[in-house]
Amino acid sequence: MKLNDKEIDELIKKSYEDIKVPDEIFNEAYKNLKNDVNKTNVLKYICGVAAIITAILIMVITSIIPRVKQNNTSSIPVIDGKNGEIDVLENSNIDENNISEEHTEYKTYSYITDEMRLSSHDSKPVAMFRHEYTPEYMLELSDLVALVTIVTIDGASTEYNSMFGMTYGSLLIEDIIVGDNIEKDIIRYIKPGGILTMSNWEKTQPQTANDKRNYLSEKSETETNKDDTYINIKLGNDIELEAGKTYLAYLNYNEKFDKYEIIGLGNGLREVNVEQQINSVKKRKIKNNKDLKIKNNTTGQWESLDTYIVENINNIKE
Amino acid sequence: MNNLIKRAIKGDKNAFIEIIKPLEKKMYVIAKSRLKNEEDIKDAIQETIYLGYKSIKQLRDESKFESWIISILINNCNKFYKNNYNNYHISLDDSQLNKGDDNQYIKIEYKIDFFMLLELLDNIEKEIFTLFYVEEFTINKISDILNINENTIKTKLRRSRQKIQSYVERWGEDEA
Repeated sequence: MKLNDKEIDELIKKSYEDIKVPDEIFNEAYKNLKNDVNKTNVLKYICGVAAIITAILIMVITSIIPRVKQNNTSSIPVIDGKNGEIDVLENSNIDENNISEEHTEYKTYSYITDEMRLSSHDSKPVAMFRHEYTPEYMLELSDLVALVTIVTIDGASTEYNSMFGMTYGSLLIEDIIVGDNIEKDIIRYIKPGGILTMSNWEKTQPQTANDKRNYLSEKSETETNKDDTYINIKLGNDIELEAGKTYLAYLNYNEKFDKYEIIGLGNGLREVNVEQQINSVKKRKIKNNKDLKIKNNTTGQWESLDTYIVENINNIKE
Repeated sequence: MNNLIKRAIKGDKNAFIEIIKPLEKKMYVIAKSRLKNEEDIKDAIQETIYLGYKSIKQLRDESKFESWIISILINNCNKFYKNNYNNYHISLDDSQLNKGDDNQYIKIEYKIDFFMLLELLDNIEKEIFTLFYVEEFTINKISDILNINENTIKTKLRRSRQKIQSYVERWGEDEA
């Protein structure tokens, strides 16, 4: 298709007009200005220091909490997501006759380093889900709606979905809101999107797409080591999982992979306002806590979990 | 505008925000043409707005506010800049879409993307391209800003158009 100079200019101007500026970028900047908050570098530094101090305090505190024994051994098996092996936490202070679920601890893990997160390139999605993830639709698709705490984020792979890739790991079921009780507290999950290397990503992409990307790369005279370059595939209003955080999640059991898929993107995964557990996760009695709130990923506001359940689950089921 | 700047100089944050609002798109495009991902872009813009407000008293000529705030933004972008910036475009083959009755996904059709066009250009071409199409500066003004001969500017712009032409011919039949 041949275009003359004038048509090229019009194409460029049209593509410029089509640009949509994400509202949150400037809205957050204005909010920070009004609150006289300096740029995130300072905040990140403060948060980083606070996180380190918190982690040290938790390590000190948890090292003096009695741990559970099982079968006359000094340990109880937990999941270590890093290599799939059993990780053992030792404790000799708990009465073996009083072992309860609340004492079981699970070591947290995430494969995502700060460097990966900061250096990853954002992707531009080329497909979207046909159906909007309304509460009714999510309820229809789900086998479970539960409060869950993420234990491990083990990796991302195109093995489960060649279009978007899937993040996979393990989570702890704190409380089931809809669905049958399942035997295990810990289940394996998958979730659309994630951070993976360019080379892994390209293995499942059409050759024409890879050729186009290489063409652009040549033209802009950039060299890329695809094994060291990460791409962050984010879909719609989806949020990034964090190990140790608790969420309201809609889960659909995928028979093919024998894993539970977290569905609904940002509508189906909503952070709960309980403290993030840093090094290890254990089940907490958060059921029936009327103060629980869940985060609305569109507005950023916290909303009552009770009200959400009544309006978006109980009323629909009736 | 001058009234808003005067108020901003006196410490009126809302007035400063009102001055920035008409420049949001320009600032976003300039940041995105230089930076890798949305987090860096957000940080650079936030830092620019904060520093701009704090140092607006140093602005000598109110009519130069726009170029002044853009220069702060470019300096902030340069702090984040990494050489291997690429805006990865992920295509989708029809065969990848789920087939069958419950087809989950639908393809998003894209028109030519401005930032993808930028990727076709080398750094100097990108700079000139942005000043010409985003800032809408004349060739003469761009020549002053970059200290490059006007004929060279024209040649670079022509070369940029040729690269875009080649791209559209090769890949852009269903996108343009």
